[in-house]
Amino acid sequence: MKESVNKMTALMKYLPLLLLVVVSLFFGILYPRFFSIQNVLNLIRQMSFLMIVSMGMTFIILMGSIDASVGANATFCGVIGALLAPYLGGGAIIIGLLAGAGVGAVNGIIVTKVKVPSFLVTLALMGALDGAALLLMHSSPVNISNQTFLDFSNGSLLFSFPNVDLIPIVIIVICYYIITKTAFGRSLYAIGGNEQATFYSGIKVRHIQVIAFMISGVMSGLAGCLQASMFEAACPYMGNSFLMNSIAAVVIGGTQLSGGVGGPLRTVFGVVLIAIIGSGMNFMGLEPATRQIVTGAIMILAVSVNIDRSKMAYVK
Amino acid sequence: MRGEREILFKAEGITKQFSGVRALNDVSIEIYKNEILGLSGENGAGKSTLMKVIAGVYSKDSGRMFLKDREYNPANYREGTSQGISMVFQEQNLVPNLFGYENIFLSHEKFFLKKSGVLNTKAMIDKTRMYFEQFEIDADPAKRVSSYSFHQRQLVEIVRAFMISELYGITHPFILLDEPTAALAEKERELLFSKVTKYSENATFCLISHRLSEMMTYCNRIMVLRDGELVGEVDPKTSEEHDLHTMMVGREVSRDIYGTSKQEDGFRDEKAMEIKGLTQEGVYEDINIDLNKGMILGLGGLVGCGKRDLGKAIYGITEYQSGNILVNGNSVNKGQISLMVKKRVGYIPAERKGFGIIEYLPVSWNISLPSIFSLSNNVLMKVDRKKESSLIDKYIKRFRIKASPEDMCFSLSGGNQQKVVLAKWIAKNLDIIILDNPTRGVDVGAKEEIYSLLREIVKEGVSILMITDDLLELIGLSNQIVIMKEGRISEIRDAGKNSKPTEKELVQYMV
Repeated sequence: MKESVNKMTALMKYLPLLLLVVVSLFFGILYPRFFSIQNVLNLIRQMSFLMIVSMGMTFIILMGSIDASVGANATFCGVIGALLAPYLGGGAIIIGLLAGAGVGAVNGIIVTKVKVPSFLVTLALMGALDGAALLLMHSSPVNISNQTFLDFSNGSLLFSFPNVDLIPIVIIVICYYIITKTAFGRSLYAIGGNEQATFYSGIKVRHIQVIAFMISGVMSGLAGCLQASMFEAACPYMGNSFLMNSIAAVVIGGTQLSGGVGGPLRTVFGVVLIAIIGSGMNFMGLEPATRQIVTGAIMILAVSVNIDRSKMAYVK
Repeated sequence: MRGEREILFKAEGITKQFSGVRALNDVSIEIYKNEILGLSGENGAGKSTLMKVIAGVYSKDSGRMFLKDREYNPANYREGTSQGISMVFQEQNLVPNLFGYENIFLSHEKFFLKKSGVLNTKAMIDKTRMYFEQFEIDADPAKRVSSYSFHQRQLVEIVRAFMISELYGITHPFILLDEPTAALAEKERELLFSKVTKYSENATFCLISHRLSEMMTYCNRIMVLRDGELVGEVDPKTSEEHDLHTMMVGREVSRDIYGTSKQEDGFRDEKAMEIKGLTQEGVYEDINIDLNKGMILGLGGLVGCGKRDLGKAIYGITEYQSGNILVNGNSVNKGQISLMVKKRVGYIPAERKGFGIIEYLPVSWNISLPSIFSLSNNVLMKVDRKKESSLIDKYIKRFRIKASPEDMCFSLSGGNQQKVVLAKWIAKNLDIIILDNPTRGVDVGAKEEIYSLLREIVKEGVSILMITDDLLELIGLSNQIVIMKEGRISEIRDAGKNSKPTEKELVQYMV
């Protein structure tokens, strides 16, 4: 019995990687231009925002919670950054990140103090933030001309490597370190595994939950500001696609929605996979609407393979 | 005598495997009409599996079964019940949000169909009410089962067995009870057994219980299973509990499983914890307890006397209205778990799966969890993996946990899981541990080990406040015993190694 279980877990562990190879080969053979330098660079660029948001989402899903406000939060923080850019320049980005952290803190505090399920709290915040962003930008894009703000994405701090590609890599390294090396990261797994037992072990569960939501908030804020800087404007609903795609990336990577199982590198695979599939569908000439349908289908497929059903009595 | 008795049920050479693991191996038993047969064995010995095969929940891999000389081969549980064999499951099998009568006839409603195709609910209720009266169950069949007490629900399940049998024209049901008393208080346990004994005039019972004393008192025969095989039979009239222990474990079990002979009564006259006038109205009132360094203080009393609530309040899980707790002489204002842990107090809950272990994390992470923040250096908050794994290895070895550090906790036996919970606190190097029923659902063999570990850590100066429903454990292990009754302390008694009180002496303060 044990052996077959081990085989299953091994399969589950390497499935995202395997899928990645298969999908890449498929598109690579079908479209020779798929692996051209130009397209690979394009791919990396396309996934940078999603990578940042998904890293934040990983913290949340590991605890068995969910953050539905990521997309709206990104839009909201992007707008704040864009509005403050003329006055504060690069400092506007800091304010944008702080706003993201603030939203995360609100999420976390309502979840832990009022004990409303995270899905509900963050869903409500999502609506509120979308509305707030629209009010702030008077329902039309806010253009950015401040050079420091624009350099945030287009400039390069390291050699000639553009920041927009560098930042996600730095984020991956930081998140990997926090989740896998620190006591805080370990507590996320413990909370996802059994919140009560973790609490009884003397871990400050509520603090950790609030901090995790704040991290997720900062990541959304960062993605929003980076996106605004990249587009040279903050637009209504610009972060919308982050919600489904970041959850999809985390889950396709093999982190379980029920919490306690998974990790940051899996999310990296998940994001890369989504980006490759997205780009491949582009090559195939599918329109965005069709691509959304396919992403949805892949998400369900991934969960049905990954999820450990023995852990749940009923599916609700 | 035996030869003359009528055989109701017979199983021959039952074998059952679960994905390669043999749960039952060539088990043959005969069950006589009107008897109460006990099934005994350690966790994983195959008792529940055997019952479930008989009830039709599991299908056997090989072997034959006979009910009243006719071959009996149920395809599922429902087919079993319609032939007169019912099972009362360990985890109760009633739907809480349905009414009493709906639960009783669930999946057998066809007997109450009116011509119009609508159910004759009045007949269902009347019939249920009649049976409830006959079996002396004080519950309303037209109320939701969630409003019944645990004890009532259990009786409802037993009565259901009689009622379903009758629907199918069977006058003598065969009822399987899997750990029916695990969650019952002393009084309710007695009540249940007096009923079972009475009902056995018209039925046959097969019983699994972890309380061996209970089996010795109420069963006519006890069959012992070990590793899926039937290893023997015990006649309660001519044997004693110790024989049963030995047969279950497969080796001679020490008569002194509590290690009373190793008890040290010369503990230091220094107070580790003082509880002063702790009160939560209606739950526990005016509780004063002194816990000395290096002692085991046992807290006993009937289920519901407030002792477990008191334990939770001390650890900061629940709040109390007034009173004070001093740890090493320092006052704790309104406890909070993380604060208590900082003051070097730990707590081992009775519900291991719910609050003790994290089933889907490895043993290693479970053990290091309470210490994880102190295992990380402060600058980059990085966990010192080397220190962590040496700590884990040390405690796996010391507590003789039969698992590797990478094993997921859910795959361990109850006894080993409990050792993990104990290990995680001892690894944190605490002064005080509050135990809530430390050996609930743990095998005899593992119990003995846990007791000897407790003796060991106490010798190192740790103080233990042990809350337990198990009277023998209370007496055998404690240096001092506090008995609670209806929320108040009714007796404090020294229990030195040579001056242990008897069960009877203590029970009088409980009721």
